[in-house]
Amino acid sequence: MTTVLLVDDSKFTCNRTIEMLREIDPDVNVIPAYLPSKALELVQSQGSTYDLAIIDFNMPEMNGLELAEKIRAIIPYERIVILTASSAFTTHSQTIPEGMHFCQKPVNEEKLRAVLQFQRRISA
Amino acid sequence: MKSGIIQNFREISDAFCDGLATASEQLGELTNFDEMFGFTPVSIHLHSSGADEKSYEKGAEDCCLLEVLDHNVPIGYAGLIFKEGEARKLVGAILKSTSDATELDREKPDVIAEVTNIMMNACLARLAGPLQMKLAGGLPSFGHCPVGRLQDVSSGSEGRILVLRASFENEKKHINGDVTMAIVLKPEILKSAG
Repeated sequence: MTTVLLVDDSKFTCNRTIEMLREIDPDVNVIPAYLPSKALELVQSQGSTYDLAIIDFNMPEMNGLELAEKIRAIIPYERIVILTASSAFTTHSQTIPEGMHFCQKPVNEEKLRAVLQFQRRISA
Repeated sequence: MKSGIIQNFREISDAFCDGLATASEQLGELTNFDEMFGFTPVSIHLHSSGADEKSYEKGAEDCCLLEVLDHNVPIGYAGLIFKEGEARKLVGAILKSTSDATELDREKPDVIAEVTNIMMNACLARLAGPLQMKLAGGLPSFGHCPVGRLQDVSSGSEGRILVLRASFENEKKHINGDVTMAIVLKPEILKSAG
């Protein structure tokens, strides 16, 4: 069973993403966090249980890349996907860190299938 | 100078239309409607103050705006404006919900904020080139239209304000709304256009 940490301040997006992930793989276990601080608490207490972290870029408290760095400081985690609608990456006001993977919003089943395949490739 | 601005305006107009086309696709993806939302550019013009904003926002019930950032510095805002009941209809359609108005109103800020985030960033990505800016959208904020937002952004600015407006509609579902953007232009853009 794959366990996913999903961090997005939009409950609507979280619910929609969970629904689609379960459609793709009924065994997937998704733990949502609606704020970066909550995600950090979860990683600190049970970080090694997550096979994959899907993190929104545009959030209160800190952006998704900052959160990813903080998560990596707690556990050396390669399986992080940044979910974004932001034009910051298209316009290069934000640079894409090496080794970071991105998924463009709005998510759909095809994009999430690719995200799960990425996680399985890394885990293999 | 005038012909330079007009030439620049054509590029901006084309970019805005491209952005709206992408926004339409993305809204279609969120709603799964058979019929796409149609976007119609209403106006693209330069303002030297935000005075016009007040009249435009009069009568609007729901509004969701995000800050437009250039190199992470706020230089304007962009968002969606809905007449009474329209945002609720869009939320009901996206959630495929037959819930009552109270329940839909509870979901409205979250859903409309995400729709605004996705649609406005699609437009900003296209506009960045012709405006020679590294544009990005900030966090969306849902509420009633804040009169005077543009004045806050433009105060002390030597640049002029580019105001872009469009309407969108799904004829079959009878849902419509407006897109509005106001961006303080760098003085050098206008000068280089001349």
